Amino acid sequence: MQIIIWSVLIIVNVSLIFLLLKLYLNSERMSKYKNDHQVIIARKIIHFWFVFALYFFLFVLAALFIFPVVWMIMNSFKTHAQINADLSTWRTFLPTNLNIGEWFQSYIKLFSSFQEFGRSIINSIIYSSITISIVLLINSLAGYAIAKFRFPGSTVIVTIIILILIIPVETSIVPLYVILKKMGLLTENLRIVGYLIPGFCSPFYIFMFRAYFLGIPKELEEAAYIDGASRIKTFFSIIIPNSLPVFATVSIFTFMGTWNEYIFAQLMFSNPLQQPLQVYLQLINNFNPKDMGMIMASLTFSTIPIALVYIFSQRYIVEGVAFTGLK
Amino acid sequence: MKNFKLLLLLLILTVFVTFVSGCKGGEEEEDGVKLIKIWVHKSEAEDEGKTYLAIQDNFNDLELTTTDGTLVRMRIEFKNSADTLQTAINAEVLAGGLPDIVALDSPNVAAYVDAGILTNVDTYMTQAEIDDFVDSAIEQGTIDNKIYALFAMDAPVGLYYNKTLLQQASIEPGTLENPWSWNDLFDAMTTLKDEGLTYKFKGNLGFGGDEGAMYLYSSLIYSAGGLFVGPNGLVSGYLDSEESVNGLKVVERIFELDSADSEPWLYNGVNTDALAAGEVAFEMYGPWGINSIKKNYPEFATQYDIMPVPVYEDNLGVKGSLVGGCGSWGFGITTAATNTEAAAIALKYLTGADSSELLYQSIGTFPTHESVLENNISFQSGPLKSLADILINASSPRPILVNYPKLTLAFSKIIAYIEANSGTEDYDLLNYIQTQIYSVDN
Amino acid sequence: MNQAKIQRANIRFFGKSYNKSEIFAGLLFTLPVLILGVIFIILPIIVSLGYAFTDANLLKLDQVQIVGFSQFSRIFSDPLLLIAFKNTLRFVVTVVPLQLTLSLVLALILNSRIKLNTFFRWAFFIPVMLSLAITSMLWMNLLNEESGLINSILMSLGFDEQTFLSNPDRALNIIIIISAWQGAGYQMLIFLSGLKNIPSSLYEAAEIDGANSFNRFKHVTLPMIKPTFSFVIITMLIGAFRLFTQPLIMTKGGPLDSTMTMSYYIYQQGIMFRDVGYSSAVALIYTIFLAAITLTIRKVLDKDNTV
Repeated sequence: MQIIIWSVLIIVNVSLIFLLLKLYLNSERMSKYKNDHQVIIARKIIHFWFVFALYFFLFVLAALFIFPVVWMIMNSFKTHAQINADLSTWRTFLPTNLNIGEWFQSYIKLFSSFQEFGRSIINSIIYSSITISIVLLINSLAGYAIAKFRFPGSTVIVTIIILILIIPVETSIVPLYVILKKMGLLTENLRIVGYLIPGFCSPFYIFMFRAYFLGIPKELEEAAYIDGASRIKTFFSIIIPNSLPVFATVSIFTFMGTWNEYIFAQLMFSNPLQQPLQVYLQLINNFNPKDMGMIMASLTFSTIPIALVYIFSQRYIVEGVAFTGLK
Repeated sequence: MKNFKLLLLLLILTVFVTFVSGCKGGEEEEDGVKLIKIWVHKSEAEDEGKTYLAIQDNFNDLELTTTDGTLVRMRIEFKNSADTLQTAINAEVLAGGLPDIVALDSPNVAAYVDAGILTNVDTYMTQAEIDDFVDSAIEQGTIDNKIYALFAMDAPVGLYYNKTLLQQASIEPGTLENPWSWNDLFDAMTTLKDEGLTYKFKGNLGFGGDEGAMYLYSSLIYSAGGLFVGPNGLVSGYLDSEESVNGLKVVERIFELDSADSEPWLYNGVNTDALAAGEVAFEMYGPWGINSIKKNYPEFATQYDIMPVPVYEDNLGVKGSLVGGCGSWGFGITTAATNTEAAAIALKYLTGADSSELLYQSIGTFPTHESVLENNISFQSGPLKSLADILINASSPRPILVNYPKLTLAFSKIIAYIEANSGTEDYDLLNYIQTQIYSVDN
Repeated sequence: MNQAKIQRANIRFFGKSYNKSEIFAGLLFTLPVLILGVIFIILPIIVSLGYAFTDANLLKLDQVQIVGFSQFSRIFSDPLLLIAFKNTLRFVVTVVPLQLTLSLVLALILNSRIKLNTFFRWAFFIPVMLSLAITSMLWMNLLNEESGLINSILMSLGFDEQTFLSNPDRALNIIIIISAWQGAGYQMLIFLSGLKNIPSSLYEAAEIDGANSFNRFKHVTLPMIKPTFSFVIITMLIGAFRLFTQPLIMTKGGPLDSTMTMSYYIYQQGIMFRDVGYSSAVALIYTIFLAAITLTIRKVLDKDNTV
């Protein structure tokens, strides 16, 4: 502990001294000495120091950011006993031994003790797929309509959409639940419909689509009309093929939203066969007696799909923000 | 266009798969057979879940029938946890999807009856059957003199103590006839400490989530002559009555002792078997400790015993009544059951003497049938007998009121408040109690 | 080109002329979204409004009685609600500057020519890949007072065993830090893309005009990322007011209600305590509050935005 305090103090003090020194060297009085050998060396040292400090800071910060995840992954390769043994040493961030055969014990135990775990992953995949399909369909249509068509009531509709945007989801959970119940969408079989349906309409994506469609030159559509295509046909044959980036982005965002959703899912799904991944993880986390290896294995395994999506679609995520009309 | 078609195909496929897999298999409603669906709050992987499966199989083997000859079969459905069970019930009420029998924690009975979810079952029971149950078990499920729920397991609370240590320090343990008061407990701890022996107390406040405080320590209020709730269903005027507050103040002393000393008096470690391991001298717990000690520290079995929960003692040394906590999970017939007689047959077996004994053997909960308690050898001596006596003679279930979830949360917060703030400047117990009462009554 | 082929059936409506097929298509295209949005997002608010005047109970929704304004007056005398609001407010005003500064500073650093740029970008982004639920569960185990990594590290450094989520004074701060940890990487990426969009010609022009690095930052960088900045701050602010998942999984409202947030309170009253009437009243007031904040912030920051 003392080491840390002392090193922090030293770094801070040296930095301050160097900063002062640099300002001094930059000042008027010293400018005539600017090209002196010693001054140049001094400046190089100061520069090097600051670069060093910056990298040091970045590395420390990066370590702080990733150590929990590293720990999670490493622990997924250990058994509960091994985790406890390694905990107070530096080995906690490394595999217990190099015997790769042992590494997957927690995973095996996970899948055999919790038979519905695989099922919950499939559930998440299914829920996400359905949601993505419908979200893409209806929100793009709406976005296109408010981008391109002039019709009476369009301003009213846009206002309604903005209104929907403003309403926070969390405060509506209870009345939404009641509405679904009265509509009969809470019974065992229709519960999935009841769960997914509120997520289909998304003003955020509507505006994303709109912004993108506004950028499509009118000539493309005119050409289609001239050839006798109806508006619907134009949409599907001309607009969509030319808008793949925004469709990709919305798909990815929707996937992330549905896959990670927790609050509404834990409220709706009491049958383990229907529970999506995030909800089922709770069961593993709260199971008594606690098996840390299994817990970490389940968390790690659950992060893989979404990590893959992030890795392969980074570009779309960042560009997606631009689609909201930032410019 | 091609992309769209692909997307549409994917959509149809996924919807199809979902419905096919999400749909439950059709009910096996053959003629002449009534399948009783039962929701339990455990998962199949847990010991309790496995026990329910065994009970189900035993019942189905018996091939019991109703008066008109319909064969009754049980089917257990696992809801994995108390929360998920609650979610399921919330969703299916008024939607007609409730099962025939549903598991419930004793404090929920009032709310469910109030909501019209449960059907009373006393009309299907003989007096002998009712009498075989321990008094507290019947009490837990009775509202307005009708029985709505039956309990196969109970969990009486007792004060575990290290017999050997007390003998070494020449301390007389409390008994049913002459129970300790909390002052006696503190004095005993002091004596042990002075003699250099283990003296700590394991309170298990975190046990059972928010429910722990109410389950283990409701006796604080009752023993001091206070009540949680009045006949008007309100907590105000009862939880903050002088008697109740006196009862609560008892714990101030131990928290103050705990924080004043550099070495804590309360055990704050994580070892479930701290008593057997010699880390504490006293522990407030339910019956699960007995099984745990038998399994993990068998040689400790003769060195401990269980005494009744400490009673209140006022400034003049007058001791309050002996009241222990108890209460556990049981089952009730829902109003959605189409054949109540069949459901009652299933329910009676599910909570009957045989099941009671099976549950005791597998998870260590207490049987609720006097026939079991009197005939099973295990209950004739040792800590089991002590706890059985406590259950039969001195236990009272948790308060019955519709707003129980709020009350239990409030009580556990009050205890937590005392623990955190007692002895500090901002400590204002009465005010805090008032805020909690407000949240319960409204 | 034969323009006559294009159908132009004009309809006059309130003085403007519309194309018949355009009207049809416009309404048709927006219909699904409108139906779903109105039923499942707007209707709940109206239902809230309805239930807010009743004593509805979750298990007895068919026996509902009107109680006038009593639920609303209860809001004003409810100490727990006040605590929930204060906690939420405290969370918002702490996490937003924290996460904002962190992500902006990191973006600025990584935007300059630093070696290992990609490594750092990914390092800071990794927490974003965990969902809120997984983040909560992971940190619960990390912060476990007996068997968690944090305490074992602290103890090996010579500290005493610390309390985290069971400590009423600390629990909310911990949730703040965890939330910032999880979200900073994402905002960092957004800022990075905003920074990259600043044409370098502007910087060159500034340099020619004799601006040093500090002035370049002040007069080129800051104004040019204003739209990005507004977007980030709005989304962060609204998200922070809706804090729910972390308290739900990690602390269930926290030791002595220290992590009770508004969303959690609404949920607790409605689902756990089954008091739909009161929950609706609180939800209604809170939604109006949030809507007001959203609109105000948008107006203040977004003067020339299309959305």
